Amino acid sequence: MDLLDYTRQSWPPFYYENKNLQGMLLGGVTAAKRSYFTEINKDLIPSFTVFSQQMRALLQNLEVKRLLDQKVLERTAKVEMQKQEIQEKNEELEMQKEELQSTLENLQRTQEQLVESEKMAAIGGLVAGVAHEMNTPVGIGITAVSNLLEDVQKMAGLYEKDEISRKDFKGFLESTNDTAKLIEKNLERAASLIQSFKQVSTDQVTEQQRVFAFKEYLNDILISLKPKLSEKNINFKVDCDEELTMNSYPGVYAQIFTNLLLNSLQHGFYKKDTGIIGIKADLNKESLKIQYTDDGAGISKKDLPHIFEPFYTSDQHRGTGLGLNIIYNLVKQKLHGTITCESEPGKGVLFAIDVPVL
Amino acid sequence: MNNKAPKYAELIIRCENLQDQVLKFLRIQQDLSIAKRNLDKDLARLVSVQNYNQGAIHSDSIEAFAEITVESVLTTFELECSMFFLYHAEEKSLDLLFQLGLNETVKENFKLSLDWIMNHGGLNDLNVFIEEI
Repeated sequence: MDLLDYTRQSWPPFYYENKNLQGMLLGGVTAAKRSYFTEINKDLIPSFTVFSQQMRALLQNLEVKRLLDQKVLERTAKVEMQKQEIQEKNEELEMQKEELQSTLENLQRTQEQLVESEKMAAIGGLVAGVAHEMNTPVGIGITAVSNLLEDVQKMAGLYEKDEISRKDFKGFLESTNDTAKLIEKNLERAASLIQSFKQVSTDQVTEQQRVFAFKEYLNDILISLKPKLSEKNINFKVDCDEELTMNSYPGVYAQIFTNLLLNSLQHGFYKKDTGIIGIKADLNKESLKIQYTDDGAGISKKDLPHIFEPFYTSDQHRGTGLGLNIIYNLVKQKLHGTITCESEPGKGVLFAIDVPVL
Repeated sequence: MNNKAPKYAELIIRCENLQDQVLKFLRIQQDLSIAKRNLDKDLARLVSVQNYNQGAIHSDSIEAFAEITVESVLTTFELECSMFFLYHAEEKSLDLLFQLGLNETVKENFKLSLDWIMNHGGLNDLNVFIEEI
């Protein structure tokens, strides 16, 4: 082997810090140059010693550097992993957020649809109620017209036979006059009902802003709801200036009072056949203050903080839990006002609505 | 005042003394010259070691370190070949990492068995020259 042609020169081996052998450095010359080293062998020792000491120190430095680099790499990898985990968590959260957003949008859409359905159901209820209410004047009118026709035919027969007496004719005139007055009165009643219903229902659907007489409109609402309200013996106490006019959204007020009244009927007077409902309205320069009260069953302390939440109801069989939430949204969002409720079980309710003047 | 010329014998003694002194000074001069040469060589080696130090400290791998070390061994100590081995504990062998000056055939996968080394003088910190083959 060529290596054996060299004069081998062994240098101090080098070790790890734990004293384990790390390696060795060899140097050599050819046989021809052997004498050179034989001569200066002792002279080289100090330089060899310095070189080997330097090499050990440098190797230790390299090892420390390598360990540090390794630690940096490990730490970097760990940080990268943590970053990745955070990234994944963020993505997961983002996805959950999107899902929640989508669910929320769905919920809002459903809620809007339900509110719309409630509104339509209320109008449907109004139609049924008004139809029932119309039945009386229209029935009376039809009966009166039938009687009138009979009287006319009877008079026509007498006229054909030329047998009309003065007394008959006078009686016919009086009877016709009374019947016509009865028909007129009932048609006016029917027209009034239709007018009220038309106004209230149109306002509820269109929700347009206009000037309206508050008390008159309140009466229209009460008339529209009369068939429903007449199921119980309710005494209404309306305390409001006849001249009070508002430039606002009458349909919104119609929905608010309709829901408050139905709420009183369904919950407040559920176990009562008689009761008092009070509506008080005061307008000053800044706001319209409405107080709605009933002397019904009241609301428990547990339920009171939640009554304006959507779908919150004390009895699933008697409501959707949307009525008061609709009122709350209309007052807050449409009228930019506030609504609060005070109540104790057995002591009725007091809804205080404060609406800024537009 | 003594104005007498020295005697011949006395001059001979003086001359011999002077010659001895000249020889002594010449030896001293030669010794100093050798010492200077050796010191110059040592200084050159130490400068070379310092250069090695500066180069090796920036090595970022054991391979680069081995290469710089082997090159420095050749230039610093005027050797003809140099080899850098790393110990492989499982195989109990010193594996060649880098070399200069050897035949191509020993460049790859060259190993020295620890047993072989121990039989040829062993790993001794104090002996620079262990053996001549």
